[in-house]
Amino acid sequence: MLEIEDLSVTVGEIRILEKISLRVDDGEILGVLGPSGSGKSTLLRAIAGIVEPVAGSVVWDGVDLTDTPTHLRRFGLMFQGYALFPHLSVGGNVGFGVPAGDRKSVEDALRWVGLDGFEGRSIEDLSGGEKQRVALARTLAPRPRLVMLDEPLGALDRNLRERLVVDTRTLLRERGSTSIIVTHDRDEAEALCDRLALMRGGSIIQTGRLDELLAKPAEPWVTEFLG
Amino acid sequence: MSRIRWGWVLVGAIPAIFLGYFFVYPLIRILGLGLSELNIGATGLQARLVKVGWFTLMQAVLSTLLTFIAAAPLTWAVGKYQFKGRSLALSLVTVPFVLPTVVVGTAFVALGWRDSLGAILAAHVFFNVAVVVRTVSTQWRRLNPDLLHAAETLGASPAQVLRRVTLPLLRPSLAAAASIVFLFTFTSFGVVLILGGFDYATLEVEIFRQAIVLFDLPLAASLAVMQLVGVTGALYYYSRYQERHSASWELNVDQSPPTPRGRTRIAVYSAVILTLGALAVPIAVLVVRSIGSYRNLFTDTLLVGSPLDAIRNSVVFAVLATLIALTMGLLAATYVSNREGGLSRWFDTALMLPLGTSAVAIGFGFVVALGWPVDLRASIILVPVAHALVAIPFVVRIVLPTMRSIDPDLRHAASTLGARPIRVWQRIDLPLIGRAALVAAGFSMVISLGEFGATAFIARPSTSTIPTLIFRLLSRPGSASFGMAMALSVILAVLTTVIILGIDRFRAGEVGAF
Repeated sequence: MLEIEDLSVTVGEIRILEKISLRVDDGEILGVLGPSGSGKSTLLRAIAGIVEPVAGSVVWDGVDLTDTPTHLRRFGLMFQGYALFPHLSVGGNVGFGVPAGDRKSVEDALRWVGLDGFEGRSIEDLSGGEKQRVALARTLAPRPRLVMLDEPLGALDRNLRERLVVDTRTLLRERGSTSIIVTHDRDEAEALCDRLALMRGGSIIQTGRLDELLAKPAEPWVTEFLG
Repeated sequence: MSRIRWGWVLVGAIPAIFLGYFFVYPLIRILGLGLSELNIGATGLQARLVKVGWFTLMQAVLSTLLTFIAAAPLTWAVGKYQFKGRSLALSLVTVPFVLPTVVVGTAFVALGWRDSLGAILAAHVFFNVAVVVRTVSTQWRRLNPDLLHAAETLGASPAQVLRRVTLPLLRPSLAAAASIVFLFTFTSFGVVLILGGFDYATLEVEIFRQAIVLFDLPLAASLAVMQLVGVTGALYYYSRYQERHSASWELNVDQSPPTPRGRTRIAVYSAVILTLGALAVPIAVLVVRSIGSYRNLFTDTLLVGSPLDAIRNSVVFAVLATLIALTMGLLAATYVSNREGGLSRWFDTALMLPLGTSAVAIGFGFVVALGWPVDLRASIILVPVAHALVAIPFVVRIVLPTMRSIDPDLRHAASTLGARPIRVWQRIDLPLIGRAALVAAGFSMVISLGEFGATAFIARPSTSTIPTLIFRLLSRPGSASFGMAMALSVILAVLTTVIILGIDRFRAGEVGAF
């Protein structure tokens, strides 16, 4: 279980995150939904330890990880631009986080995303949808205790998105991964997530299931944003 | 909550301490010595300072002017036109520029030019033509041809187009080339020392004479201060000018330059052949006259040291200097590209300082300052350290753009996948900058092999390098010594050229930024 308490992040003088508090239960998929520039990506980066908070804490199963370096947190993050290593093959990318020689984990992860046998392919030769799936496989292969996806389908065209939403949900559900998915797309959030957290201007406005949010909006903006 | 990241402190501190002790501290000692212990009232001293300062400035201005005149035809040809053999001409014109200064000096001695102002100026022109041709023609190619066509439709003759449109538009690159050539010739050491005899001395040469021959360290230090002021002034002007003129005019995007026809074609090829032909003469004479002296390198036992030892020393020093420069340069570049804020930017600028300082000042600084805290002045490690200091700015400039082009998310991704910072560097940064690092290593090697200014101060007869041995051979009477100097020069030139060609192959294969 992930617990975030009063997490604040500033860049220079500007406050990007303002006292964010969140909880994600084991096996739950939380969607973080909000307009662009609302601090969603920064939230994931702060949880991963890439961005250092000025205040607040990140706690996993009662252990405070706020001062733990990124590489020791075992939190997986799929980056918005995928951040695939250009000098490594598909297999090299997916295998990066697993012990050397553990070919089974690589094969498994590629099978989950439907890219069996892609190990030797070069990153440059992949289509957009294939890159998305390699990035997902790379994130899942080390079996992180928390899976974070930043706009996982953002860069893809609509047909592909509709297909991959289903695949991604099935995959996360089957594995029972505790997950946070950042998106600006309401339909995507609805299809993928158990519960939503609405963000605006670096703060969380309201959390709850979509029907709850629509039934009891905390402020008019919520209804407006959820359309 | 901000924690100090000791790993990063270490990454920044190692090159900072290295530069601080081997570069900044010696310079401060020179400044102190030059400003405090000098008895400016001593007889004839002021006259001497003025004479040397004046000659240094005058020969630099003359050399720059003559270089522009000599470079004009080829610059016009490769800047304005596209023709067969153009890129080959550009490569060939660069050859003199990459030759070590002692090789250029020896080549002009082989021509029979020695102990004269003419020889110094000719050697400077020979060395620097490539700077003007490459800098100016690159900008010429980027000019929007429609600007020239517009002038033509308004009734301007070709000469008027050149004078009223092309040259004004080329001003930034003309100024850049002029500053660079001025700087190189103002700080010229090897060429002047070899070709100037006793009558002509630049500040650099005079520093060397006062310090090494006459042991007048305070006077040498004062000269070094004068020299630093001159160089800093030139660099300041250059950066100010670049700043003011960095706004670019409309750039040529898709139009390729015209192919010359008829009489223009003849003029273009004449410019190419005459320029390259003139540049080839000193090299050809050196090679031809060196034939017959190679055997002596193996058989002669010299009072000034064995040629084979010098070759071995040069190679060993080059390898050590490359290792040091690469280590320090990569650490510094890693720090600058990963950390943000004032300290990082300040460090970035400080890393360029050795570039603006003459090698002679570096060598002299070692002699003055490095007796503390342990006396390093007799240590052979000083030679590769001095070479590394000269090479570090080049390493940083070559590696930094590639490092900066690496998406930081690649490093973040590696961290989220469990890689420790050192592993991130090893598995992400290192492979992605590998090619640039190899190019930087090649440059460091070339710099070390040809370095003469600093080495002249600190190399002992037992640690002679090829350049210092060539200089000693040239100082001795007799055709046997001179023959060996020429043979060693050719060997050094070949070594340098082979490495440069290797670098070029790597560069050609580069796919640009990832």
